[in-house]
Amino acid sequence: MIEQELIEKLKKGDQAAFRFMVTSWQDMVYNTSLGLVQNEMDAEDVTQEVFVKAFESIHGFKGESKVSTWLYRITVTKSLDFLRSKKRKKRFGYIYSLFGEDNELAINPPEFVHPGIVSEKKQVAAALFKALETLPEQQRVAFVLTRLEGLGHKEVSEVMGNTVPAVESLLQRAKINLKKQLSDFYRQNLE
Amino acid sequence: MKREQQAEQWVNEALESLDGIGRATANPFLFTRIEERLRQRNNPWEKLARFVARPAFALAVVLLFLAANFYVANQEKEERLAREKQANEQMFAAEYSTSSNLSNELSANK
Repeated sequence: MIEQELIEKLKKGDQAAFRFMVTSWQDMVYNTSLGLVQNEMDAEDVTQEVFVKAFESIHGFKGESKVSTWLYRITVTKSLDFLRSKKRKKRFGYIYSLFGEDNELAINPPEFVHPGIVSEKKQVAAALFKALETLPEQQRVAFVLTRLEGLGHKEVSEVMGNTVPAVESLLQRAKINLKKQLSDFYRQNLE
Repeated sequence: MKREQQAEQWVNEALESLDGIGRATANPFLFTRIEERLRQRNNPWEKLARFVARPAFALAVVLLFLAANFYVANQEKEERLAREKQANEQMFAAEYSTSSNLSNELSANK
């Protein structure tokens, strides 16, 4: 099914077209979300939200970009919204616990390991994902889209609404920050 | 120095750990779950709950509550002032009537 035809059908509320869209892009959306939220259940929740949002806002899609680019944009927005809301809840939980309620602080979740990583690299990759959490949002998005989804700089710039040099700069800074985080982590381990 | 080299080697290994990474696959029942979510979202009670849960709605309720409180407090103040004014006038009238009696008495003595 060509994209224009798919969009027309989606605008008419065609269930089969919607099913086609979900099955065609579900792994792309899930993988991107998983890289950003670093939790399988949360990533599935975000993936569902992305397709619900796509279904509800298809009338606003003008077809100026590819469907995949549009879905990437929704995924990034929803994943970042999810992370912000999680951070707010965590902060609120902390304040709540200060007032003597019998609520224990959420224990740090176990190390995230991406299911697509080969088993011998899982341990080192876990350290990388931990360091990824500390990156500013834009750098993290650029890194995930490039390294986990294998997008080129031009595609990343279309998703993020930036220029190609801006994406290159984000990636450069992301790499520097990751190196710094990782070397601090490993130096502490060596002491 | 050896430690530094070791740490640097680990950093490079970590950065290279994503090379050749496979794509994570979504749940095979994802479409059914999305359909269910869409059905729930179209339920009028769900829509109402979502509307009520919006921060803008909560803010509007708080503002309305404060405005109602301000209005009631203001009304009470105005009523109290009106009552005080009326009481003052009555007192003044009573005093005036007493003093006019006194002036009558004074003029009679002359």
